[in-house]
Amino acid sequence: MDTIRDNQAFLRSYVNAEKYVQTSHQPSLSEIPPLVTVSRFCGASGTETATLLAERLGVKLYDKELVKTITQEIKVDKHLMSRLDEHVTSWLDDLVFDVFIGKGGDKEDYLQGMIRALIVISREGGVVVGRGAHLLTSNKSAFRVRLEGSLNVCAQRMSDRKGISMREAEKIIKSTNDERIKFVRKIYEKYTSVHNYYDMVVNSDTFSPDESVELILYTMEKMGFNIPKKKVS
Amino acid sequence: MPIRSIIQSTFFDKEAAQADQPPLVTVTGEFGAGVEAVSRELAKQLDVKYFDYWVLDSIIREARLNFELRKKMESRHPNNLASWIQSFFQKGDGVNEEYLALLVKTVLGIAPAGGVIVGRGAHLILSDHKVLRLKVEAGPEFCAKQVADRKGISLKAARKMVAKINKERMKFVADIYEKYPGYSSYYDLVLSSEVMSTQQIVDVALSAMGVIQQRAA
Repeated sequence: MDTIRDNQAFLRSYVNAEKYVQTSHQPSLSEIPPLVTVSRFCGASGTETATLLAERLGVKLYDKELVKTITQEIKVDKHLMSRLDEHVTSWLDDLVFDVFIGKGGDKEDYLQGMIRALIVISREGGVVVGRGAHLLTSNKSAFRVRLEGSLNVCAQRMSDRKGISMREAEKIIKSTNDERIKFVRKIYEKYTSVHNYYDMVVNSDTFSPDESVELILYTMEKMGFNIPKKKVS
Repeated sequence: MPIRSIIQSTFFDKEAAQADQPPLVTVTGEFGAGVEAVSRELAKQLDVKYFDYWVLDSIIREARLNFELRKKMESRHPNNLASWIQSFFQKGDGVNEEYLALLVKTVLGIAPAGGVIVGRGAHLILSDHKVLRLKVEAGPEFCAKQVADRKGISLKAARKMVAKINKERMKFVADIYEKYPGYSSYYDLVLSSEVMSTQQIVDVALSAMGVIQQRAA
């Protein structure tokens, strides 16, 4: 319930934020709250890394459920929808934009919903996990990271965490990754880009979630994102 | 540096294989993504040698004729590896068997002396070593634009060249992988040269090496 109220307040604050809606000034990365998309290989500690990253950046973590809630709430507010659509052009990879103006249908509905949700999230910054968000954000608006890992290391990690056999873990990883690939292909098949999809890919075989977060933050800072200083406890 | 000096200092000089392994990095990437610039700058900042396609191929050519060099390379492999490589490659039926066997020996031979090795599947060959495996990535349009500007050719010709060279490289790496399969993921770090400058990529790679070093210490 609290989450729903939070989201409604969040959406209302967006509508009232005239400076974001009417300005023609294109803010630099250091002027906007950081938005990060995290794509992950199943078992590569993607969610753990994304959670730590959101904490360090002082922004909210947006998982599948939270993105879905925001998308649905925007959909019932026609006024907000039209305000958001004024900003779509500055958000998208040019090729995605060409198709976004398409004729509707489930995929287009999904994409339009995702784009509007991302515009809303960007106001206060956030870490968005999965959902193909990296394909919709341009490198001017977000930092796009992927967590990779080899099958045997990811399976060992999952087997230890869930107390299941290696064979079972490998099966879960393969089927989850297949589902994720199918989902992205189904929704985004027409939206292939000539640009690369990630700004950074980190191998979780080599780097722990803490180390990955430090590397991601260092890279983002180098690129000009505004990174809060680490709190010393 | 002349190739003979590189061979001498990499394989024969006393300090070449130190107890504390000097930094070792493999750098891979699409043609036009800026791999060479990143690799040269990394080698400079790490104060290690830079091994590009030309240097590796020159060492391999020399090793074909130079028994002492081959012996030196083999002495640097773990005990059972030299015979394993030999037996494995003898099973093959292609004309490149000797080249690939010497490539593996060369790359494994370079490892103890440290260096920045560009391409040639070195990231696969060294996957169980203490090494940073970096990939510099960029989309086809970005790579074509870089190549067109650098070589003064049309964008259309550059697109064709990028696609052709990348296809050849993928085939080469697939051949290595087939003969030298590993279980670990290909790269430790992939960075986009579409959004990052050469210096930014080098800084992040050095920082990643620092993280690995710190953990080992």
